[in-house]
Amino acid sequence: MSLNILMVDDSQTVLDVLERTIHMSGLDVASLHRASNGQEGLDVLRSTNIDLVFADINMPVMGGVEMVENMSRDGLLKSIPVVVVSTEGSATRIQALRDKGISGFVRKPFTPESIKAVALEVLATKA
Amino acid sequence: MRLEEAEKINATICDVLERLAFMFGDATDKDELPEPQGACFEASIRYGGASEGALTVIGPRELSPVLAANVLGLDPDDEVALARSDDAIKELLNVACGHLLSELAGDGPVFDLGAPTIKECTARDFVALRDEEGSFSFVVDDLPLVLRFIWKGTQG
Repeated sequence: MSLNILMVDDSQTVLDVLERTIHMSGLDVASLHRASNGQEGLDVLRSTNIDLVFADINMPVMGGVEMVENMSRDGLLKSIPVVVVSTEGSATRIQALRDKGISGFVRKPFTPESIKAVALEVLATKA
Repeated sequence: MRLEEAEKINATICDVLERLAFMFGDATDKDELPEPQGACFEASIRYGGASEGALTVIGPRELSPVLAANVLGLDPDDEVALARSDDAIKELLNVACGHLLSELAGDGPVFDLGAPTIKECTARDFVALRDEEGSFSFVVDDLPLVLRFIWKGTQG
């Protein structure tokens, strides 16, 4: 299955590194889309067929958690898995994110292996 | 700050540099740290939640495009690396602070990281931070870097 992936982060550097890492991971990628905050992410999700989202938590305008909360209220978007990409190290916080609908979590600095593993995990759960 | 905490800070910074930017940092005695000859950057990130504090780093300006190039897999003279210099330093600070907090506090306490900031500063500011009690000195790819991590511990 070729994946249409959305990356949401306010850092262009992180988006560049994530794009390169996704390509290096061996995932079958059909298209990669970018957004610099949660609101832009929702705009992409409503106009494009996306299979998987990688998102930061803290962003201006709209953060990753608020974006997921908006997705969960939208019948067309609520089944799209969202992986949070963050420097977060608190198990308490990560569980709270999962409780809010986050499908997966990968900690920075990420590797091609960690990106591929979490992508396959959340996509398998969705299936 | 206890010796054990200082060792964790040194090790964490070197680990993050290696895994994020494929750069090797060496914790160095501040007396052996070369002084920058030109402009420097000062970058900071504050954190709150289970405890409050901040991470500050000062280094020579020529370090930032090298760091950006390493993070992005580009040549240091590449225009994109030059344009992303500040962004790369901020990302380093963000990742380093998150890892320092979990190394020192464990994975239970919850912290909130602020947005990293960066500004220009001088070699004099570098020396002032280097000479501060509790600061940390590193050599990163032959370039000096000084760091201060304000850490008061967590209750309980």
